[in-house]
Amino acid sequence: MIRPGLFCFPKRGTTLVEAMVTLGLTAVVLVLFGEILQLQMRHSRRLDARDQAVDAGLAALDRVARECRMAVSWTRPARADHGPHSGLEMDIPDADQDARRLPRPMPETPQLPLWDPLARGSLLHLRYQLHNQTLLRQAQLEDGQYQSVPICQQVREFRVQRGGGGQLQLTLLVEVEEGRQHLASLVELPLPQAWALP
Amino acid sequence: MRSSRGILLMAVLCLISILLLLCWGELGRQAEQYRAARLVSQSAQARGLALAGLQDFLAKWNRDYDFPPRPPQGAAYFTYLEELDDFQSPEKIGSYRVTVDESYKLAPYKILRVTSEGVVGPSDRPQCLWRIVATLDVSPKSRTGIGPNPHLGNWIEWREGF
Repeated sequence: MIRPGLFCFPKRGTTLVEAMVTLGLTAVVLVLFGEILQLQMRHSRRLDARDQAVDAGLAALDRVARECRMAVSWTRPARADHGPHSGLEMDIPDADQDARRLPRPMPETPQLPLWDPLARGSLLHLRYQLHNQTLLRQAQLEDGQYQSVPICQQVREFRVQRGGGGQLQLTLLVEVEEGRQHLASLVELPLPQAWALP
Repeated sequence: MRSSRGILLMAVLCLISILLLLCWGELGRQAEQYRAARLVSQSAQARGLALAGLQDFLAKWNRDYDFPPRPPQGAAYFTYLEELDDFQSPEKIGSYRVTVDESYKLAPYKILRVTSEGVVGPSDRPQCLWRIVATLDVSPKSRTGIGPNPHLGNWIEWREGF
């Protein structure tokens, strides 16, 4: 009689009961596995959506904060105004006009007039405000019209408040799947004319 | 009968493979999240280095009458670089490079345009960069009227992050 070895299996297969039990267990494992997979995918999709909303909010806050640091004159909130506001209005130096606003002094060019950093035409007037749950960046064009660019969607609230010592508190309330997410940024204004009286 | 046992083994192997693929995907996702978080902290670090560069320039300008030194004939820029050490390890945290444009130093502007670039990581393998361009008012007289300039020695324009 040949003994069962590595390449030799006993002739006996599985009984009907063994086959049924194996199939049943396989089915249970597959169902459980499918459930876990579905749950994990749903959870991961929800997390991704939340991350996306929060990331978009943080990127928008970062952009607003950067432009606040660049502001040379303020309309809203004014320098002495410490109350909460739902929008921002300010002037920043117009980087696209650098060649015009700061022509390089050359020996052969005639004497330039006294330079005024706040001269008309060298600044870009900016507005940030909420419209239909969208945070808009509005830049004033030469003809006085505003050009709007949406920088964040699903925003419930946008709040701006001046703190003491040249600080500005920006708050964004973003809609996410489970509710709302509060995002805040404390901006240190580096230009004294943005927060201290001259 | 031999083949029926093989099918069971293959099914188990398939399940394990799918599970491993899922774990792999999840780990990859985690790695992306860690990378994004590291990028946020590195950009904050680079911005801090660029700010340190501006503060360093301002301190030198306030204390040294001959700073920044006059650039050579035909040049308008003066640049210097400082590397910062980590207190706990011999590695460099990063550096800041300050470039001063002196072409607007005289009338009618009387300003210095200072560019400070904060770089995270060793200079031969930079990981993150943040740039701030600030304008320093060096006019002793007021630009708008008579009397001293209230903004002398202050930054009057600021651009960053590009």
